[in-house]
Amino acid sequence: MTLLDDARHAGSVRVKCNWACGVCSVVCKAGCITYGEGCVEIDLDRCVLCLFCVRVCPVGLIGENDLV
Amino acid sequence: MKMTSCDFDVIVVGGGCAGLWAAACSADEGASTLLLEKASEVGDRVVCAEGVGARGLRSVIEPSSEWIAATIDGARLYAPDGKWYEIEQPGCGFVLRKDRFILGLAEIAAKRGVEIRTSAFGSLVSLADDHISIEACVDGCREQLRARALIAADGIRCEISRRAGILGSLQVNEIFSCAQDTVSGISVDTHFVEFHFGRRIAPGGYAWVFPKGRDRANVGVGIVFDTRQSDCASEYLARFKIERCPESSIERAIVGGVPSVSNPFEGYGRGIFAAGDAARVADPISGAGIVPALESGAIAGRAAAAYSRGRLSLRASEEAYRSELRHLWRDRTLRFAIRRIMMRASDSDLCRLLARSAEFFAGGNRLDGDPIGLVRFLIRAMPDVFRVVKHLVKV
Repeated sequence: MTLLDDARHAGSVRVKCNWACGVCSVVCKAGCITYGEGCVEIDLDRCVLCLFCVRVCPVGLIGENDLV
Repeated sequence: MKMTSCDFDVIVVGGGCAGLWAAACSADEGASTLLLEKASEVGDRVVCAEGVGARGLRSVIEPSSEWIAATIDGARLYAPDGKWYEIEQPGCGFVLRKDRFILGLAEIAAKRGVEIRTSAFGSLVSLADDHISIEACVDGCREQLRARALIAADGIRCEISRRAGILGSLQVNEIFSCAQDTVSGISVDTHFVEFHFGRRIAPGGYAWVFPKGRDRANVGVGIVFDTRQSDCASEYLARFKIERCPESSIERAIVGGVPSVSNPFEGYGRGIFAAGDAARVADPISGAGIVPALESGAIAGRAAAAYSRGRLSLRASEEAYRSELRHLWRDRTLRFAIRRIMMRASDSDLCRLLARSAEFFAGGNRLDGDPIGLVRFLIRAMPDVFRVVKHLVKV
């Protein structure tokens, strides 16, 4: 499953991330990214699929096959 | 109008160098000041390359020898064509032990009367005309606190300012996406920093090697998103390390972002003053953030204290904050324009730019001197590349 696959069904998606550097949230156009324990949560109901979070992630986590 | 009673004049959220210095300056102005840091100790979560110019740092605070991992006597610039240039200037910078530096700032802040609470997560609850409510979550216990003014020094996420509607999101090309490993077993000259340029190494940015001892260094890569690239910063770093230090071992790995914006003067409103990365004040060319964090912290601290103690109206304190920042970075538009040139420059243009810059510094100009002199020189030497900034500076 990837972010785009999940986006078709909406809801929210959680991506494993222990870095919590905040880069994805600061470029997010919709403000739909929050941090939980060891994961990034993306609210796909609000997500506008700009995919800026995918582009700037320093470790390439978001958009990869690494969903919780 | 009857003023609501407050627990503190000023609350600072974030215990990095911007927050601590802001709190120290606020307390210095007579404001009762509380600082909330979410880590269990200040200096616990250092995310930084730790390099700083000596002149800039000394303009704010005289560094203690305990804070310094290496004194820097110059820089080596590596061009994409394999040539490199050495610029020697004894004592021009430091690589800090940032955790100790932050502890040092915390000691200064505490001596000036700042109350520091660690393991304390501060989040904005409400904004009223005469006070701000903050929820402080300390070890799972929630406490609501009121202050007249709030300093948001909560890093690049700037959650406070964004929640208050003061700042919006960044564009993808307004942020350096960075990955850095502190490594041991690397061969380094302990008194020289290295900068490596080129689209293959770090598109839109550069790779760095900052020595922290005889065989230790911070090795990192900062890139700016480019539609032609598909790799992330950590992949560029892994490739760079294979070339530069294949035998090294990782002590600590960090990732993060460095904001790079042309107008970092809008981080205020409704009694909130932003500082450091939360105000997006890092140098747009180099991404250097320590000195801008301290400077913006001092400005935010003074403005917040003046407002909270009733010496200035909210409007006047906001104007003071804005005008002091604008004065400090009056060449910001030019710096941002140069960053855009460097971001888009081809490898051959970067080679010429580095060769010309080395010529400029060989002529006795200082690395930590006024950058306008270098820009003037480059406009004359490379008019084809620098024509877009010609109108911003008198040649």
